[in-house]
Amino acid sequence: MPATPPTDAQLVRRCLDGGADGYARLLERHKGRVYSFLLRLVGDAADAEDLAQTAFLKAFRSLDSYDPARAFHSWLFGIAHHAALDFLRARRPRELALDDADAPLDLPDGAAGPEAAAETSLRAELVERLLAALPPLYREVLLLRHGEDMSVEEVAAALRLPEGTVKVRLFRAREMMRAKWAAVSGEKE
Amino acid sequence: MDDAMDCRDARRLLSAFLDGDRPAGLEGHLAACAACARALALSRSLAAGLSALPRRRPGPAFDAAILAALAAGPRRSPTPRFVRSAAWVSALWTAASFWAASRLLGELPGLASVSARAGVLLGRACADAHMAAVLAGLLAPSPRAGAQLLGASVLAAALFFSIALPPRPHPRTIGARP
Repeated sequence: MPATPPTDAQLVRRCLDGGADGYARLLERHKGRVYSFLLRLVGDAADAEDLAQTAFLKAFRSLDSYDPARAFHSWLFGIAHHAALDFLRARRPRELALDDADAPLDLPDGAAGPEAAAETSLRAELVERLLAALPPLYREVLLLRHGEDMSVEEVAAALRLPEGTVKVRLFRAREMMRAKWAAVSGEKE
Repeated sequence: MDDAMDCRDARRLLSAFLDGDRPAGLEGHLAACAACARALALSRSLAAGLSALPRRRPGPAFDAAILAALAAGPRRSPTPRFVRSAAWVSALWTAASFWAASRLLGELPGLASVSARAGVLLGRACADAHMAAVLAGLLAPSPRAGAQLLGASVLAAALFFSIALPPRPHPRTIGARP
């Protein structure tokens, strides 16, 4: 019978006890999701990789402060979120504005149409473009809620926000995307 | 259609519905209202699209770079900016307070007893602030931050000694005045 893979909390314990393979296994398990999240948040592969490295190093160096009662990925995404936030603030403070929910989404018209949207890869590309047109603070709640399948409670814990704030951001993000999604996916609203 | 809920209320609740909440009356409204049901289906389709986004992977050197940095030794996070700022403020406060105390004592001789008390109080505050800067420097988690904080406290002390202490009379001026 195959051995059950260790939980994140067990790997963290292994790291703290000096087991070097714990870090490698945590990296292997989480690097794809953290990197994807950061890539969609900052929009540049090199920046996303730098930020992901920063986040993992910060997490690994402060494993003794990790509370095993909490989901490791939620804690890790919280660190990644703060790294991205600092980066975006330095790069373009305007991107973090919350009051531009009514700003038009900048989407190309050419890709629209039900036939094209039927293609899975094109559908993913359309979602990527819609997502990229959102302000990062809205983008990240959608990425964590749906991309990472976190509950509202977990998203709130990761971002250190009240659940009510997360719900409001999710509501606004969905409203902003839904109309455009109807237009580009060919689905009727 | 459920009379207790109109479409506007229903649309407002769709997001919470997607997150697992079951607001009273919404399901009844959705069963009766095709437009709101379509809006929900669209939101679900969008959520499915977000969930299906492909996972990207960083470059091949990603793991090695992190593990190498980790092996290079533990490095604690730098001193928070507010601690460094507090140290600088306390150091400047030290200098400014001693300067004010010496002015008070020197220029208001009529209020010598009051000013002397004020000077003592200010001096005490300065000493505390100065000590705080020194301690913060000593407890700083990185050598660079420690050097900054200790530098700030030394600067404060230097400012105090150069400004607050009375100047020594020039030899040529001794005896010039009655």
